[in-house]
Amino acid sequence: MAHRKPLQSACKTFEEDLVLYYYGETGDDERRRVNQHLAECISCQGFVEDLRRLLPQIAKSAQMPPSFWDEYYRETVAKLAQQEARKHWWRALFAPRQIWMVPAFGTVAVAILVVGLLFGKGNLNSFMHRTSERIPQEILADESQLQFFESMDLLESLGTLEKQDDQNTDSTNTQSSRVRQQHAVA
Amino acid sequence: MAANDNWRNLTPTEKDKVQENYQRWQRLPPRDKEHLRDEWNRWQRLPKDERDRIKQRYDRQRRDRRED
Repeated sequence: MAHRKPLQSACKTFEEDLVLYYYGETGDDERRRVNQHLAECISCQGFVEDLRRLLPQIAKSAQMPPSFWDEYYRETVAKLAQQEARKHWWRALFAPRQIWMVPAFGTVAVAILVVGLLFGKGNLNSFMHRTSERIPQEILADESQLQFFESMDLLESLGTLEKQDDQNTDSTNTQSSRVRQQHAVA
Repeated sequence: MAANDNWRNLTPTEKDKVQENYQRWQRLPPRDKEHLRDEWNRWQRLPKDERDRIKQRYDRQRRDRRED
């Protein structure tokens, strides 16, 4: 199969002018000069013919057909959707079920609460106390021990308190006897 | 258990006080421990009216100290 040359060769001095001529970008004098040359030069005529034949095809191939852009759009949208799904994969678990999941979660929560209250009612108070406090067993050995540790401050000053109490009692008694004596004298 | 019930009936402040006293008790020398045990036994043998009077005096003094 014979291979055709893409462009017929033109005169070197006219090659650039012929391209500008083809695009209509030559001045009047230049166009006249090129026209004169073309009338005499078969090679340059062939070159211009080739330009007319090939350049529109090149320009055409640079424009993508609408089907290409449709496909490009579809692929881009699909890729964006995939990326979004990867970023919020956990949302996909809930999103389609949002409407029915709200009452469902509510029911489950209430059920857990009811079961917890039913089975844990008796132990709830002691459980709270057990977890929040570390009570030394020595304190809870018997009731008397607890009272002892409750009253420890008082016991430390018991002697002083008793003395104060005695003094107070004595002064009250003295006052009472004085009042009695005054009544007797009167 | 009665001690457990009594413990549960204490206020948080009272519980803190008991815990604090217990910690202090552990650090006391044996002689002081013995003295406090004797005082406790004596306290329990006191007539109720006397105990109430002393307790009232103690509470009043403590309140006054807090206000000062």
